[in-house]
Amino acid sequence: MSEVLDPTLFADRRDDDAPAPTPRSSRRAGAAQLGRFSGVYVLVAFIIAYGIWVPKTFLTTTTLQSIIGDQAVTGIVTIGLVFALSAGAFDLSFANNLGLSGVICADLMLNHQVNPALAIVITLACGLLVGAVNAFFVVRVGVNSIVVTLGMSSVLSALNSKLTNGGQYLTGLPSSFTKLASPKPWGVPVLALYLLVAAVIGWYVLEHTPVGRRLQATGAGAEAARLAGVSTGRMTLLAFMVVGGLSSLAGILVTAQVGAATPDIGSGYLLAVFAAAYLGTTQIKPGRFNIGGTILAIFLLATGVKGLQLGGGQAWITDAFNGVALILAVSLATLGQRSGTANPLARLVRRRGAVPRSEQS
Amino acid sequence: MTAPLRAGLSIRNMSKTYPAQVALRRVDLDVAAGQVHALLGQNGSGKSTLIKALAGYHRPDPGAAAWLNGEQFELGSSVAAHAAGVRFVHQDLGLVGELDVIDNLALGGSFEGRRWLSNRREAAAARRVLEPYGLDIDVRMPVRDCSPAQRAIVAIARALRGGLPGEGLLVLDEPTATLPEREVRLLFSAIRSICAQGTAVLYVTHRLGEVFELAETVTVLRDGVAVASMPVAETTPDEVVTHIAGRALDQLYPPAPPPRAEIAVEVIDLGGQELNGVSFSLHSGEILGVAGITGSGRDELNPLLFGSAAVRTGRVRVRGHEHRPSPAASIRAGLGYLPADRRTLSAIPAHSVRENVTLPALGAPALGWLGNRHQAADVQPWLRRLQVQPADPERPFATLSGGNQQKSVLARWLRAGSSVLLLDEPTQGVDVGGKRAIYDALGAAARGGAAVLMTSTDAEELAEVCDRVLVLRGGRLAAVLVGAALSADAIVAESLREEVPA
Repeated sequence: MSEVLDPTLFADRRDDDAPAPTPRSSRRAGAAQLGRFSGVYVLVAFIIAYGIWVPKTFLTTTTLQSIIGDQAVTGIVTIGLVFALSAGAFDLSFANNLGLSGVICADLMLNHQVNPALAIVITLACGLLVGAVNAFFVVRVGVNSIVVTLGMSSVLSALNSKLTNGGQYLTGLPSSFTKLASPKPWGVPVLALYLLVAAVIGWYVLEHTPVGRRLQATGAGAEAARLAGVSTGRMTLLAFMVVGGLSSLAGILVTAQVGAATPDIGSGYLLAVFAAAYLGTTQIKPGRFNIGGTILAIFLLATGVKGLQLGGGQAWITDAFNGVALILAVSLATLGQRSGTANPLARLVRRRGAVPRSEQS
Repeated sequence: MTAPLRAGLSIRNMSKTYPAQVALRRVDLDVAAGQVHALLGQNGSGKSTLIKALAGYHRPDPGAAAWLNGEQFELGSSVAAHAAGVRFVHQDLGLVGELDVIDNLALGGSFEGRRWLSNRREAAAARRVLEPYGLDIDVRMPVRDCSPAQRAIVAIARALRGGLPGEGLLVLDEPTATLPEREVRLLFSAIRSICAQGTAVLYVTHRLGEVFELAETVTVLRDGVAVASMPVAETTPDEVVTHIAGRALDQLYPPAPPPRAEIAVEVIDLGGQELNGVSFSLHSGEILGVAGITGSGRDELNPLLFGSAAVRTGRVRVRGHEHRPSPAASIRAGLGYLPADRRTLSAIPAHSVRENVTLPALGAPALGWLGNRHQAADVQPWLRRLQVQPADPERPFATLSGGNQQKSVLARWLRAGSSVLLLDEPTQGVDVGGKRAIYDALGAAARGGAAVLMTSTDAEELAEVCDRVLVLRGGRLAAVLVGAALSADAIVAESLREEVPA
């Protein structure tokens, strides 16, 4: 990841019209100094490095398909989390929501003979309900979102355990259901196409509609947004329901992909998704949660992990990689926001001697 | 330069220059031991800067010097000021409400005892600390449950604890700002007992009445200059007011636009936390000023009208229609609000000027397309009209100077078609050039038919810019100044009137 820190990886900032009078200060806010597309360079570096290290296994269609297919589910949840984080809502329950959704969907089909289409609809409704309940406690009661979703996470895990008799797999799903995830039109895993659709819709809504603008305003300054007429409570509700619904959708898709409901599958997503969302804030639109940067971050992380796995890494390598990536990503985002200097590391060293902000009587 | 006092505080030649303004200009000050010396001045006159420089929070410009009891100490260092015997009680007192009196007294240096902190001994020690101030309270009570004056005395006792009987300097920064009248007596007797021991007291206040009741000497700051310093016995409230308000009017202010007959906003018996049954009308084409000291309800009026604070009593009618204030409803009704707190309330600093200007009126259905280029082209003429420098819609709001931030927020509401502008301190922290641009924008909006309601702590500004000024006092409408009766002196006098002993 050290390449990301390289201050020479500058990227030009586009200005629509009107020459920016002082480029230095207009670049200041946001992590522009990391380079809006520095992630692309790192991705290319990963591919070259792994291509030299393990060419036989890494540079194959199978690997490409596996990265794209595996990350589709991660990507869909991450888009949901990006909506939540943009609105300032911190959701820790999405991972268990994802896990429980797979179980609910499978349980409905296997134990209650519900047809797949209806099972999916009911499951999505449950996912949205989880988001709505989270939002109720955050908006109406005024509880911190971390606390609410941490509690919710535990409740969902308990329900999961109850429905699966303590964590047993639910197998024997109807083929009409598993078909959802198996086709590969033109060799592209269909899950990747779902991600593409979700990303385009997510990008449109979050970055180019009034709803998205209000959502971001809520996250960046709730009180200022309220004074500008934004119903911040409604935006928080929407954000929690988007992450709830998309986690649920991801749970359904991963169940179809695996062909069974795996009760403990959710927890594996928690870290990877947070890491991708925060790393995404250093890319494309620095300083903001944004869809393009997030997608780039997901494939960057996945490629990094995949190469290490193919190079003979153990299973723990994934957790280690994602954990380090999360801390690094948040550090870079934080430094980028505060930094006026080109190099966040230089800023880190200099921080101690900060001058008190000027005050006038 | 006169010689420094042998007993008490002396400051010579203190200046403080900020990048955009001079906050203090060669100020000399003598506070004699055993006396209360009042420091007066409007907001922005340099009072806080002087206090902060004394406390070591700011380093004054080179050339300044200070002595306490004849000993010179270093300015700009909180350690040196403390070691010399300078103690501060700031307006917010710095107490922790949840902790009891004992623990609050112990903050910043615990009571005697090496290993074991004995509750009983601590309580006894705390009572001993409070005794000289005539304060007999349950020291195990949380400070939150003390009366405001008791809290102030606890803060003073803590500042002087372990301390300097008979020497040193105590600086009190508006200790009575939040105190009810009867509680003030309690505090005053505590202050007198401190003076009796020879401590010099520098007493910063807005309240004229207190000066004449408590202080021996008064110094008035205006625009960073000590314009007057005299014994209280040799002056009158009128003279002091004249010094505070000043008379120097330059080309800063454009003429106030004439109001029209049409009523834009009618306020009937409005009440909230501070405000208590205020009624008035705001006309189209008018710039209506609102004055009052802190706690008079001045800061609450606009939030109540806009709906960001809870209305307790009364009604508001906007252009004849009943208005139930909430930010969203207010914006629909054509109200726009510019809060005093630019950092957290009036805009989102990390977002671009374009996003901040367009936020209340995005001009598309909830899920309709918003094009950045199209919006930037929409915003730019507004930035030009309000002389925002630079007129770059993509610039992060936080990187604009104070005046340009205010102008951008005005651009936001004018673009949104607001016909009623509610402004809190629109020129606070804005340099002179920026002020003029803001006044011009307000004048243009008013001549275009908008109604402007503007609160300010700057009496001169209100007197010059407004056609009419409401003065609030104690939550009620104390006076409406208009025409020949409208002057900076009159505003200050009306704001403070009841405090002056008859």
